[in-house]
Amino acid sequence: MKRRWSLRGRLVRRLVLGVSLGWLAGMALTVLILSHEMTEFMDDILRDSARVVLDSVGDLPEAAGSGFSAYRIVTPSGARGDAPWPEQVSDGAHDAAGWHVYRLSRSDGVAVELGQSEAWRRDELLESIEGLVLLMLPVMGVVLVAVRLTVTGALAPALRFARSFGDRRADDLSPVSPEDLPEELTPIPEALNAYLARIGHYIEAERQFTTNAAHELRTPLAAASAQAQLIAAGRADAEAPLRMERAITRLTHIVERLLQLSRAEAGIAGEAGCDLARVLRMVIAEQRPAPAFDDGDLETAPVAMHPDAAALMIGNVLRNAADHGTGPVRVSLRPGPVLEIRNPVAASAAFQHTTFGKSDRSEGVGLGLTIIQKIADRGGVGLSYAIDAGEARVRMDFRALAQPRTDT
Amino acid sequence: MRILLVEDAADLADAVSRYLRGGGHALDHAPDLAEARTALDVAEYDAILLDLALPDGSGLRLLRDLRAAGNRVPVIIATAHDQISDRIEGLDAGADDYVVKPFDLGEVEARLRAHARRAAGDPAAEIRLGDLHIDRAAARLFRDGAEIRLTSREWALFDALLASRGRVMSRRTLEDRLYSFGDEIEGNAVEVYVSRLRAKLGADAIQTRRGLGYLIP
Repeated sequence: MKRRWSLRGRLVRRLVLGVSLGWLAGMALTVLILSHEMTEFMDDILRDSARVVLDSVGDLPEAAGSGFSAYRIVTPSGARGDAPWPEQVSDGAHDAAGWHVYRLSRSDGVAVELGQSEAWRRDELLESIEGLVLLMLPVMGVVLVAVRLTVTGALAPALRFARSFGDRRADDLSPVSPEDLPEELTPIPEALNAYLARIGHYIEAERQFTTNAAHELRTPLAAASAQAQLIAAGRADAEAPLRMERAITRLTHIVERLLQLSRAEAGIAGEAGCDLARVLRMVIAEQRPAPAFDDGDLETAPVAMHPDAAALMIGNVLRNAADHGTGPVRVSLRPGPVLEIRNPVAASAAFQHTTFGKSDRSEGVGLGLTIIQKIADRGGVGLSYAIDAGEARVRMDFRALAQPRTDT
Repeated sequence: MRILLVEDAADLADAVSRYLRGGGHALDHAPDLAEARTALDVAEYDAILLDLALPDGSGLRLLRDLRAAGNRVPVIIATAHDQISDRIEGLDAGADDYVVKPFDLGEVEARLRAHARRAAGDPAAEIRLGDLHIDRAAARLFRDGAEIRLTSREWALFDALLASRGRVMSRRTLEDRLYSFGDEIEGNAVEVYVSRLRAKLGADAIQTRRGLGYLIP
């Protein structure tokens, strides 16, 4: 199993790394700028000092110095002062013998040379940088703590949401509340609510189906049982056994339809194709009375559907037509393959597409069209129903198979 | 006892009707809510056996309408809805009892009788009337330990008079208790049954109030 990762850990790590790198880059840039500015500043001091010393030649000793800075006055007659660097030949800044020297001369040939020790200059610069770094380090620490607190705070609503969802009862399908979730996470509760609503719908449909199935089974069972009790109580007439047989036949019919629906929902195993023309002939042969069949001179009609599924679907359409029609059923097969089943119906007839949906006074179970639809959906069969001028028509557009298969 | 059976399954209704009629009850069958309402408009029933899933709506609607109109007739729901929540809903809507299909017809008949007795203010199943011992639950009658056999129609008439004992019941009311819609009623049917009952139970068992009707004192 893949190891789980922590969103908070990842966010904190990456933010800390990013902030640290940014901080280091900023510090490096600051040090560069500081170094440049400090050098300029010390050069400016050296230049200005040289100007003052040059203006004061005669009043000052020929040379003087401390451990880190010194000067000497040079006349046209030769160097007079002593300094720790060799005499410079031109005006301007020079680096010589570990000293940064600035030479400035007058038109009469008098020149002054002022120097600052390179070591001193470097130490001054390092002290400045050290001060800056020491000042910025606590700021960096505060930033890291702030990053962690911010990430933890920002993720808290998401964690609360996850906990509240995890604490739910398994059968609780009520919508989840987005509560204080950030905008970026609201698609999660929205999608969850849509999903929960869909599950709720399926469960309700299942519940409704079970209730309807119980009703459809219990009523004929009650009728058969009542007829038996009538006979046992001696209150029955001669017709009672016949009525009992009818009740049991109806019960059998309902059970058969429920089993067919169960098969249709589970999907009939195998992906074999079949010869629709052959299946059709077999199904029609079982019908009483037999429908009129026009095979359109098609000897074979290979389709991408399991023969059992095709037989179940066509059988249900034919049974519906026979049970609810008012005249002979006609079946026609055309290239495509397209199957059409027609039969005359009463003016008030209508197709009942809902599960257990029945017309008033209908003796049917109300499952036929549901079974047909489920098989058609799985087999990719296009279904269309129409009632026109007292005639009901069911058209089935099958998916043709390129190569005939010989499962039947 | 006159019973209204509201049930859309024709084969079940047929069996229940035959059974209860065989027990001497007058029974009218309504296959939907509309016919049930029509029957309730024109006849008075001792009990109603009510299915819930009817072609033109739920039996609960009829039950609620009855109770809202102040009709206290005992109603037993007889349905395939077997969940506890269905029972609770039915009882809360005003049903007196609830049976789930498939049911025992004898039990349903006993429940109908019990509820009808309770509604008439006399829930006792066994009654002593002079030297007669009457078991209304079993629809049997004894004198000095010996059973007096009554036909179902005779019992139905006797039971109707017993339910209103001390009060005069008109011939028309008794006919309503004995016959369903569509039954052919002979003009003197009640007199004939009263006469048979007097022959079996004694001349004083049922008194005649001329121009008014009959009573068990």
